[in-house]
Amino acid sequence: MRGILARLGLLWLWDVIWGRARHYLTHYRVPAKLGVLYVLGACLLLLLGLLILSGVFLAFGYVPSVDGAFDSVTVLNQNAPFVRALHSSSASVFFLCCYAHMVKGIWYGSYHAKQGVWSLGVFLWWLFMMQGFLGFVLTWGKISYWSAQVVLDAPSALPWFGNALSTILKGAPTLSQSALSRAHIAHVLILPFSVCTLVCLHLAAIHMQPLPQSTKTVPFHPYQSTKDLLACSICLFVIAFLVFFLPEGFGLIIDPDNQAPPDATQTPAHMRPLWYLAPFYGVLLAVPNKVLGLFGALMMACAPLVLPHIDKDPRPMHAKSPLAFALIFLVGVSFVGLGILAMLKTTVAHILAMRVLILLMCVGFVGILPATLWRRT
Amino acid sequence: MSPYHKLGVLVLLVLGVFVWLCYLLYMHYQKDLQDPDTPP
Repeated sequence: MRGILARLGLLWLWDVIWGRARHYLTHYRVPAKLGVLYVLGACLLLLLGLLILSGVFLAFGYVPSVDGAFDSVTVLNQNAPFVRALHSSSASVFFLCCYAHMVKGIWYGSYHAKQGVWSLGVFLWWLFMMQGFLGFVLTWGKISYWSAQVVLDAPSALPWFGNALSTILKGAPTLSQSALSRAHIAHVLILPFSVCTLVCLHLAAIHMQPLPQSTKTVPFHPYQSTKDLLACSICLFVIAFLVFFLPEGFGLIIDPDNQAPPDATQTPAHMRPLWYLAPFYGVLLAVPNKVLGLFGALMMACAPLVLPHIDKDPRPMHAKSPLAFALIFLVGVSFVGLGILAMLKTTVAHILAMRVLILLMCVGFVGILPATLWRRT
Repeated sequence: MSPYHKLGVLVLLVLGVFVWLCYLLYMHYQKDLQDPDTPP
């Protein structure tokens, strides 16, 4: 690279960029004893890059029309299985890392010291979920068609403006070309640019955060950068294994039921949601009232944003009172349980179990404020 | 074994070596941190 730029007479450009990057990375300091979960941010950046790269290649072959979308995805599966599997596997591993990254923030109580960073991260999580769902809709298979139908019809349950909102989202009273075009534009243009902007702000907010004076620090490069490099290499290995040997990921990455064209006349007997959106689908499924279900799902998405304000104990999880620890743990376990139940076949027992979990989640969440206040006093 | 899977084995072997090299690099710098007399 340096040789090519020297021949072009652009060596000064190399020196400026590399010199500044090196200066910044060696002068930027991080705490000496960062836990192993702190590598997840680097993994997420790598996965975001892979998603954008594979997404660009997929966009070359994708036809955003109701008649051609499903067939174009089938052709992409046959002619470019590597790119398709890379995109879907990266998305699943991305969400796995994303949830682990959030658990890290909750475990260390990072949202107290870095509230701005945490809030930007929650906004990013919302955008990733929208991006994941719209990507699923774009495959225009049997399940994705009906998932879009359920989600885009959900606002119509709201009083007064519900129907109008649903029509605005779909672009027409029924799910048709205008809805697919909107999903396509949002997935390939609006959301990627919004995500990249927020990621830059998230990183800037982390880097501007001052470290406590008493903390022993080391330069980011090479001490943390080599750790990040090792984590990214392991992440690449896992992705490669999934892409070549487990592209469907036991039906969690690519749903086999979605490999059939959409049928507007027949509702599928069982609709399995994307695993990373399953808890939200579980709320919509389990709550008998549509408006309450929608409200519950929205509240669940907003809960991490409220967490810094209701958790009044700034210490990490392991140092919190046993009651506060148990309540936060209960919320987390209920969230995971709700997701697992929503993925299974819908039965009366599962619906009842999901309602119990939603109740436990609400009780746990509401209890965090008094539990952490009581400890402080 | 299909050509796609053969390519997969090759890619995994290359990435396995890459992971091992990254681990060696990581351990090289971690030794500095573990020695209390030689702060970085």
